[in-house]
Amino acid sequence: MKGLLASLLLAGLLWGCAAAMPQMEQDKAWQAIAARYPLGQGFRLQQRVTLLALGKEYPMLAALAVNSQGRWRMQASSEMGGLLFDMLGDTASAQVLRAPQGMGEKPLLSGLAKDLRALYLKGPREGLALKLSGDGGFSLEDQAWHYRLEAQDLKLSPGPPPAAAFNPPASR
Amino acid sequence: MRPLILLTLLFANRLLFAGPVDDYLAAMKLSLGGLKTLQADFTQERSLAVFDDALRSQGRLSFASPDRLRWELRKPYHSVLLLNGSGVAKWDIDKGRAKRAKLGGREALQAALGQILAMLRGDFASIKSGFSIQLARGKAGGPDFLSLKPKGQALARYMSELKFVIEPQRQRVIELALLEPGGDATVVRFSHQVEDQPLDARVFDLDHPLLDGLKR
Repeated sequence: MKGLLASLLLAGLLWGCAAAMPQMEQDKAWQAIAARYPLGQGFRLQQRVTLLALGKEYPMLAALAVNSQGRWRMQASSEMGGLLFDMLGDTASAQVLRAPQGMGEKPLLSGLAKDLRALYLKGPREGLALKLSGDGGFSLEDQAWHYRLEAQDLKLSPGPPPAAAFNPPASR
Repeated sequence: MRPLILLTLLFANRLLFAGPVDDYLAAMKLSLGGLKTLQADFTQERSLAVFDDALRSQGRLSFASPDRLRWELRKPYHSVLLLNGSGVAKWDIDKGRAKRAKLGGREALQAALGQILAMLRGDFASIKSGFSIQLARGKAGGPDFLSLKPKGQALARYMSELKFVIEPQRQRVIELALLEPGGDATVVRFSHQVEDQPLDARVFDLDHPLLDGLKR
């Protein structure tokens, strides 16, 4: 009887540890991201990003500017040049200045804009799985929208971004 | 002064010496039509207007007539885009290992690579109808300039102008600039061009490209 109890206790402990491990890794990953991109006076960031959805990969270059008030601008272009989409937002809302051809604004506003806020401004939220990769990059899985983003920093420039980054263009 | 501004000023100056576009394009096609292979280094600079920032990259271009192209980016990361006939592939190389991408949006990529291919062959006929074209001949052996502005609104949403800087003696494109409506620009400069040297067919192999002995 004692042996059975001990086994059950050990099994419970192991199960608890196993369940806690992914959460610990998650916490560590979110802390590392928060440390890598401190808001401070703001920053500009250029990344190589691959969007993985429905078994396909969509490579792009992303440029992001964030100011000290949490306003942000994000543009994605193809690797050979050419703007794919453009968004502007803050800690609470976002607007799409240009959506990719053939795609509505919803995946950008309900998916990407919220993910971006979580990553660079607000921290973890339900339905996001963050994982650091060895090369200084990370991957972020959005379980609601069923896509994964793999990002690798190309250029990080701390300091206030130009004010023009946060002005929506008069017309597009 | 940013190179693009300089380029624009030079271009405006040379417009005064514009010649007939069709004759020029025909001569260019004749000159480039005989090209069997080409390899060149390139630098690519993407300027982002609202961010007041730029991203520079470097790579190597390989071309074999009539329809094989390899666009290899080596810095700041290593990737290879391949167009071989009607097929397209992308390989990403990281830490000495190569991985073929399960590419989405193949049509767009194929179209972009196809435009570069047409440019290398001097074949502007396929895109001529969609653009208004202006030519500015260089003075005293200086480069010529071709400007292509889209006529239709669909294309104008993505580009305001395509500019080619052309070495006049042999009519080789030495610089290409894609200007976008929001003020962003991508400028590609070619150097160390080597023509008509035999190229290993594996350079363009979609499934097993030559990758400097890297593991797959």
